[in-house]
Amino acid sequence: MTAAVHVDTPHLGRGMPAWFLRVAVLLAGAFVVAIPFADGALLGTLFVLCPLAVIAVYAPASPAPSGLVIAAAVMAALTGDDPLRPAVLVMIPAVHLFHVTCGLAGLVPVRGRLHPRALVRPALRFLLVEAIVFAFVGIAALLPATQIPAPIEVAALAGLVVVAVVILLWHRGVFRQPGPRGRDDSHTGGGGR
Amino acid sequence: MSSPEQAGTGVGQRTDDKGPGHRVRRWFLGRREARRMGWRHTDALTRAVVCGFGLAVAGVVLHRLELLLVGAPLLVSVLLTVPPRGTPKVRTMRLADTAEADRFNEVTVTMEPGEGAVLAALRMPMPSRSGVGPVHMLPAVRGVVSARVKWSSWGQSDYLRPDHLLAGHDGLYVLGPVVGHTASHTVLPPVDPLPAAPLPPRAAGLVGAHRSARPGDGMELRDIRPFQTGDRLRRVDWRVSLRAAAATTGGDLVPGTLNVRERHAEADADLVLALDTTLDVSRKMAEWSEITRGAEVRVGGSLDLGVRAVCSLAAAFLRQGDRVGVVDLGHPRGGVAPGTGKRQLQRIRHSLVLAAQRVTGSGEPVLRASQYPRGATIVVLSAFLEDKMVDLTVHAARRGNLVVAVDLMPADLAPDRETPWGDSVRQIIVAEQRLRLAVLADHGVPIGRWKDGTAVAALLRASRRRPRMVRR
Repeated sequence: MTAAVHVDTPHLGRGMPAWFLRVAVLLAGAFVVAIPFADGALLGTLFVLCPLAVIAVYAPASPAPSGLVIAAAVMAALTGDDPLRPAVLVMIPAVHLFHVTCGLAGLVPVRGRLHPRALVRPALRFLLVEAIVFAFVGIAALLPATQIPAPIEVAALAGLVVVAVVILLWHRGVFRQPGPRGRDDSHTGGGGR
Repeated sequence: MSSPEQAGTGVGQRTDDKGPGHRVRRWFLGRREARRMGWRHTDALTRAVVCGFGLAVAGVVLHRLELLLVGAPLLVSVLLTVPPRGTPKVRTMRLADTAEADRFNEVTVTMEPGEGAVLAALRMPMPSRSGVGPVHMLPAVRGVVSARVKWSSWGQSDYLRPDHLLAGHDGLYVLGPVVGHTASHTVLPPVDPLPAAPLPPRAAGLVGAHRSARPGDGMELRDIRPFQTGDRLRRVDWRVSLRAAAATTGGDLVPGTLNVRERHAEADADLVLALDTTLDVSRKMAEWSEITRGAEVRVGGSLDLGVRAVCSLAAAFLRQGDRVGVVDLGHPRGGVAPGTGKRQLQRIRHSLVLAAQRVTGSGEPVLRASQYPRGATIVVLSAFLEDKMVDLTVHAARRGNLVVAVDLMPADLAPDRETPWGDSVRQIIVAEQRLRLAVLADHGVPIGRWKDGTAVAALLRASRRRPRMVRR
């Protein structure tokens, strides 16, 4: 044991049931479903959104949450003209919360235990992301709502594609410095098994 | 988690597979296994990338700012995420191979999550339950994760298997799950404090903790009698002898005036605890036909009760200085020969844990004369659901031993509700058991129910004074 290890760590308590995370997914999903409905979406949309939310509760690490996010965004685009109306502004944190809760719920079995202190860093990161996004929303609200020239749009699209490619390559480790491949660098301890 | 080499070996073992696609299949399997090693992305990252960029592109193309804004948090989340690179290490600190039931123990795991890990899903035991426990979601911080655990049930069990999974921000990256090494131990049956009763002394031997009826070299005065040939001089009671001489011969010590002090002999007492390990029945009769998994014992069942009773009785009488042994009625080769001391108690407790594992494979109950010393007190602990138990108990009593029967049948049996005959079956079983106990009582075997041991101690105390049935 190294000196940096905190020996006086408090004992692991009982924590909360991990199905609280599934309840959080359900509540966030219900929120995402309810916003377009309150914004004037047709009742039939519930037949599309509700099953996706229920499947996301059962299998949070499945394509169902992606379907709900895309469907909710499309509903937000179809049900109103003002892009900065309250329904859209509420939808932004709701979709993000749904995404985060699905990501966390996929990590622990339903019968596991959840310790609230594990949620502190995800909560702080959630607030940071929302602060950045709402800063963009503020900038978007200040920009003139006029027709953008086609070359600028093409440049924006190309920029998005470049960003996407760079991020994909980054996450695949292309830009990572190749370090020495020793035993400590390997998850399996260098033994290969 | 297997490695690419293992995966390759697994495919390569099929040397007879010379089909055209086996090399391609092997390559794909190797790639799949390689992807499972180390940090890998999850569905959450796929969702963030696809939905974030997809909605952004769609918003730009369709001129809908809503699409861009709804997908923006996911996009920003991906942009803020640095792929984790650290190498997590989870080490366990093993406990002793044996543990005491109903006492707190600390199970400790040292975690070094490595760079980039935010969350840890770690399997740890729960404070009040046995077993390896559920998966706990914890912050991934370097340090010691410890759980204070109290095992209420005894037996051999796994108490720790630190399976772990590390995750990055928002669960976008994970490492694992990695299956931890299983740590097993033996939880010894608890010893409840119990008042011990005096046991009948064993005829053989001249030392021990019990007063024998025979004269001997003990401490307790038995009689003062005239000197006889063969008496040792150190036994002469000079005060009484001088008084006797003064009264009869005027003070001259002549033959016939010497008196000696006669003392009781001291002797060992053997207690043999014969436990019925052929059956383990609980209060719910519907569970009687179910086979318990592995080394599990039904909590509150006859075997659990019997083992706890044997431990408590053994501890009480060993503390008194008696010789205590255990006979495993279901396995004649099992059990522990009578002995004394603290180590004997440990031997008995370990043997009981082993005996409880073999309930399903036990045969006919056996209690032969060779399994216990002559003159030993025998306590037979059983639910008395078989006539054979009555036979062997009566035979032991007819051999001249003091035999006490302890009924371990759970009180208030619950009938099987899934069959209309459940209550009738319960009544028949209870009636048959009462009949067996009545037969035992007719043969002079005292019977008691196990509650806290006080009743059994009182039963032994009372039985010691009773005349015993001896085969003629």
